[in-house]
Amino acid sequence: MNFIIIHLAPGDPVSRIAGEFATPEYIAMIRHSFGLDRPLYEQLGLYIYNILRGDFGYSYYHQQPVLTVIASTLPNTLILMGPAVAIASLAGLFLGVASSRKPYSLTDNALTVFALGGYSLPVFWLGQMLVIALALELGLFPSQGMVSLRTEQVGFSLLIDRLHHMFLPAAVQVIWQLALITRMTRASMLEVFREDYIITARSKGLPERIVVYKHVLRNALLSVVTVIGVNVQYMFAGAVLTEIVFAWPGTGRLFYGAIYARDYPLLMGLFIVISLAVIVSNLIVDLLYGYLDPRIRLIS
Amino acid sequence: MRVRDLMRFWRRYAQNRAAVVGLGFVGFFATISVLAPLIFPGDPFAFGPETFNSPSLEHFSLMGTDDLGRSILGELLYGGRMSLLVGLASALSAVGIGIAFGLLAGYFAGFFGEAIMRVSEIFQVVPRFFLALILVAVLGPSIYNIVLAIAITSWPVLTRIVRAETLSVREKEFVEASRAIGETNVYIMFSEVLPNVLPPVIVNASLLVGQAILTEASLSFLGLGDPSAATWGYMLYNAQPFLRYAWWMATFPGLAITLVVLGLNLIGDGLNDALNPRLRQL
Repeated sequence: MNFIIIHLAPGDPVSRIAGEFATPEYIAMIRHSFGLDRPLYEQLGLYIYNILRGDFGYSYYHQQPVLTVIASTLPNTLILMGPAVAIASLAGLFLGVASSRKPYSLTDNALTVFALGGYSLPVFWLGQMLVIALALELGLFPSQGMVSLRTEQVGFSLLIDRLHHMFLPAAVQVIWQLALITRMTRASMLEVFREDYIITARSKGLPERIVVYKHVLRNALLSVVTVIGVNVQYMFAGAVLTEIVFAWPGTGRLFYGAIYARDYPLLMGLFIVISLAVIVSNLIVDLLYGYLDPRIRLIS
Repeated sequence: MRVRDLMRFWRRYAQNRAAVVGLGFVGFFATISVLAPLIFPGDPFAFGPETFNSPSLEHFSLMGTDDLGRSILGELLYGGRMSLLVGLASALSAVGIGIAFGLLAGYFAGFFGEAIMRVSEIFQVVPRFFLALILVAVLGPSIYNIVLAIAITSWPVLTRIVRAETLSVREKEFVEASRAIGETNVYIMFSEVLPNVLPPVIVNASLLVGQAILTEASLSFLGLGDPSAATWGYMLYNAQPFLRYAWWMATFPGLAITLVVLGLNLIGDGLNDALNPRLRQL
């Protein structure tokens, strides 16, 4: 339980975040009215107070409360991100293990090149390339949106239509995250392979498969889970950028529109909601970590 | 003596062939960016009559033209200058702030050091990309604000590294010795401690340049690029509405970003191998 407390220690995240990003905006306002800093502090206080009550202000572009606008699009982002993270994590573990079993072999080198490449490319560019190649040239997938607009669909065919639209943006997410997770799994697997208890396990005559999966992977998993937790924020960023390529009606589109319309309350609201989502997922990862590693459970 | 050290370092670095390839990528793009006016005379941003030319071998249409008739090759060369400069400037600023705070936090541990670390922790809880996005959106999308936003969101990583190293170096005998002969704190920090904490900083700096280029490209793609300083990311932003008509508008700038960032990542790995004595033995 200590673990959670440490993470809650930087105080109430909401008020911290609000203070941090509100400052530049208030600096801009100070420029307009010199020397009026005390009432601004009161405004800042009021803003924080309102956020704590769940009032994020009013989006002047959408003419709706900020929270309502966000709540209507966030699920679309999560639908895209959730399965992608799950698939990428499982496949990344698998590929990372495959890569680490024979370091510097042909498989390993090929996977390393793939992982490094995937790690280095702009995720939205990957989306653009897939759109050009698979959607526009070959016509295999729709390039834009979440549902077909021309036909009214219900039930099973709606589901198929959704999946069809989802495939490319989700594939972009998977490829991009797969690269990262493969790289991390390989590195931590190789580190564990050097441990004394692996030599012990091998010299006991355990089959290699059991050594790899039960001894090495279980220990390597700890650092992989940590890495996934640390990278949740980049996964969000990747999802937001990918959505714009595919005109996916999620938070990414919302960001884009809010920047275009200079809709600051909506921008701030989006920032706070995503920050909270990231903090909560990090918390979940910490709890998971405690569950995976008995040593941590015993200490707390 | 100096030259011989450099030679020895290069031999160690060159053992990692991928790192040499990385250096080649980065060197190539750095060179063509510097030589841009020689390779592409004339104004790369001047509108031309021929829009959406597909890539061909005719004069300066090697990579095609965009929606306003500008040559993609010219934009790519000059955009590379901006992208590389933004990456370098952001990373250097972040390294500067990171080293300053890290040295202070490590050298004057205690209340002051703790305060710096708490501040850096707040920055690590908040998602970095979105903080940079908000900063640029509020301050306005100029190239300076973009560099500022990337630096502000990148320094905490370096501060943590520098502080950790400083804490251990601080206890070494040679630091004690220079304190005993009455050197000032500033001298000890910069002349005795700093050189010893530099290796991990250098490795991270090369990775930071790559990340900064990617972050800038992402910000540009969201519409937060500086229109008066078009980078590769800004070209991708321009290309998005025309994916259907002009594949070349998106393909080449993205490829350039990927190769440069890949190169910088490979260089980072190579430097890490060459500078990290613990790994070298393995």
